[in-house]
Amino acid sequence: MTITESDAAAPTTAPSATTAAQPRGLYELVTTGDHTTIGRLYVLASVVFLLAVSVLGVLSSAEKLQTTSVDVFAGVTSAWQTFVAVRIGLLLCGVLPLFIGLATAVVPLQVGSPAIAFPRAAAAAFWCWLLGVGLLIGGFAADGGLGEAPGLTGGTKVHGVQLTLLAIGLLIAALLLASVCVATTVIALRTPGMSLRRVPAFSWSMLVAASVWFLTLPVMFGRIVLAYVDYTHSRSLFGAEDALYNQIRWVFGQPMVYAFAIPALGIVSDIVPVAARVRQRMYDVVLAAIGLFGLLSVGSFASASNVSDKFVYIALAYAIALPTLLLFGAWADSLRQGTPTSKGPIGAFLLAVVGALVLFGGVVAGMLNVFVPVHLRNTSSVDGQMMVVLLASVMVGVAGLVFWSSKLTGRAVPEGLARVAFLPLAGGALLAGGGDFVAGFFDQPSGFVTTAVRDAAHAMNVIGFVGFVLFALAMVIVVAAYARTFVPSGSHAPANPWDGHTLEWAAGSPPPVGNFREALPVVRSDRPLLDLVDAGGAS
Amino acid sequence: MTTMTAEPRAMPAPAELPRPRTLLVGTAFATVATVSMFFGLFAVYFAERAAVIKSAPLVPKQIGLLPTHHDPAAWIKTGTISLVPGGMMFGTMVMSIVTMAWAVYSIRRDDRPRAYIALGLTALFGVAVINQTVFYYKSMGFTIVGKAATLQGLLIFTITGAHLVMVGVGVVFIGLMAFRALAGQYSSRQSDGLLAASIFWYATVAVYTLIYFGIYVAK
Repeated sequence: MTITESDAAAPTTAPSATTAAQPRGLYELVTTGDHTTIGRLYVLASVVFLLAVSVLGVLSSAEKLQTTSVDVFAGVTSAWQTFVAVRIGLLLCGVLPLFIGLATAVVPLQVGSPAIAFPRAAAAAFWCWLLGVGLLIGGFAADGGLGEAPGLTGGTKVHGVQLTLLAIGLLIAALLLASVCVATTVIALRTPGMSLRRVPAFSWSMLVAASVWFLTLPVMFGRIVLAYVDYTHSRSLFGAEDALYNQIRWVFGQPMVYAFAIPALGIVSDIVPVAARVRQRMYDVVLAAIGLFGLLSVGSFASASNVSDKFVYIALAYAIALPTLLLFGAWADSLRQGTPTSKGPIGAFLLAVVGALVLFGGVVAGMLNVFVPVHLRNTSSVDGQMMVVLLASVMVGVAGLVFWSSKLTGRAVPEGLARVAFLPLAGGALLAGGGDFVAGFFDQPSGFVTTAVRDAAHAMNVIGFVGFVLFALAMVIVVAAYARTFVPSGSHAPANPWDGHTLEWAAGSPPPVGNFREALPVVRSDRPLLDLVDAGGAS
Repeated sequence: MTTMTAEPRAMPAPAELPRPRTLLVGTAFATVATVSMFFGLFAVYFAERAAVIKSAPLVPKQIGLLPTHHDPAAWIKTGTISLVPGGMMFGTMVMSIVTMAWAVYSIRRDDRPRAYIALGLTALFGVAVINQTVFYYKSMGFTIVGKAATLQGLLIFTITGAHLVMVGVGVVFIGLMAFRALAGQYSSRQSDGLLAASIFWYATVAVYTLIYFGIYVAK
């Protein structure tokens, strides 16, 4: 097998690292262990799937425009399948792989490692994930999906449902394996001098996120196994046709949904100081806040039924605001010290900051959802809050894509396209989730709605539909912008186009095999390239 | 005339090997994830068990007393699970802890023959547990197929089946590390692979301990 990788245990002096890691043929592409190539493929596939999920979201929200009849789809079963597919696709085929793809490409560079830990496992994780996505599509296409809408039976095909359950299990296993590779890289392959307190924010956030995912996603995997066994043999409780989605529904509620937004905090924390051209003060606070956010988002306990009135559940919804506010304080402090200029990553900065604001909107919505006097717990407000958090995470993920695109493909995403994309992305995320959230105030029930709703809720559903249309349009721009960086035109981007502060900007664009052409100096702070500039060296 | 005595001179200490410990760290993460899955399944098991027992009629603690507590046998009827095979498996797993620790101890002292013996014994115990589990399944009075399926059977077979897979993975892991040790990859200076295998194996035993006491003994 051809493995275009370098030994992760090798010292960081890599004098032979002169050629870019670009696999030449399909065979080399499939068998590569190069982390940049794997990350590039993850990101490409995830933005394409996010576009597909957005289109499904448009269809699903169009169906919701008239809740008492089925207009867009052939029947209730198809409408239900699409409703479920949007959620599962958004999480397992979009948000998580986007972050993991960015991490696979960027984290080894940030920590000064010549390679990712377990490169073969990282490659296997990607291809298993892609296979899982294929099986998931096959499962839904074969009239399977996650069973039937509540109260219905008999509308799905057994093998299709089994295939869907198998695909979800495979997707979770693959994403966990990829997370093991990323987290191990942060723990074990840091360059000399880089203590955990000096790890760049995105790498730190991936370590925190992966740790939370190790505690929670296996619980989801266990529920899927339980559902598969029961569905295959007796369909009594966990595997009953209309109960399959309930096994994983908790993943889309709070506090669990915040666990998927953890890497977004790291991305914003990396972009803001570079855009403001200042050294991040209170860096320990940033790391602690990301860690606390992760700790408060461990939500596997919510897999038990009837937890929404428990004290812990309500307290966590409020407590998560504390680390979020701390981070906003740290980012605001950077922006107070310095001002983003046109020389900096303005497109990425806009996407990141506005995405973070939308995410904060999701946190506030979560607090309102558990506020007892408002009575929103079983309303569509819960769905809306989930959608806001996940779509805001996508938005920040796109910011990361724009920021690090030169490290992914060697060419930067056109700034103009990034600036164009941020408005429909933000508007789409706010409206798509906000519509459902506000509809909850008018008693629209949570989940798949088949009953009549009040006029105000109907108006909110129209707004939700517009939001999904906007988001789908924005994803078209994102896919086009990212695809353009693959076109071999002109020269590669410079190694450090934004005057970045962390080690990934010391590597070429794209990074060569082994990542760094010269031996890295011992790291003495959380901004090693700024240290070099301060010492009078070249960055 | 003075005689010169040759003093033994120690060789200079070998240079420190680069030890990023990736395998050890990666295995620790994977083990945490695996154990998390079992905690999730146990949570379902104990929640369902509590719900069934809570809805059972009150019975007296002893004959002649007033009924004061819910019948715990409402969950698993007496005689459905024999404790003997489960106890045998528990004993086997406890022995495998000793042999696994012995393997790590031996390789750290460059005692390769004993390390190979210990690894072989651990793998053998693992295979024995797989064999015993299959026998146990045949003796249990549960079914998960069709209308006769029970919730208890579903949960017990899923949890113990998942553990069976974990034991299988552990045996394969130990086998791989044993072959690496045979190839001279591990020694007193570098024993990460065996340490990693031992972490996973200890977790396997810990999960079985929970199965044994939480399911087989407590019923």
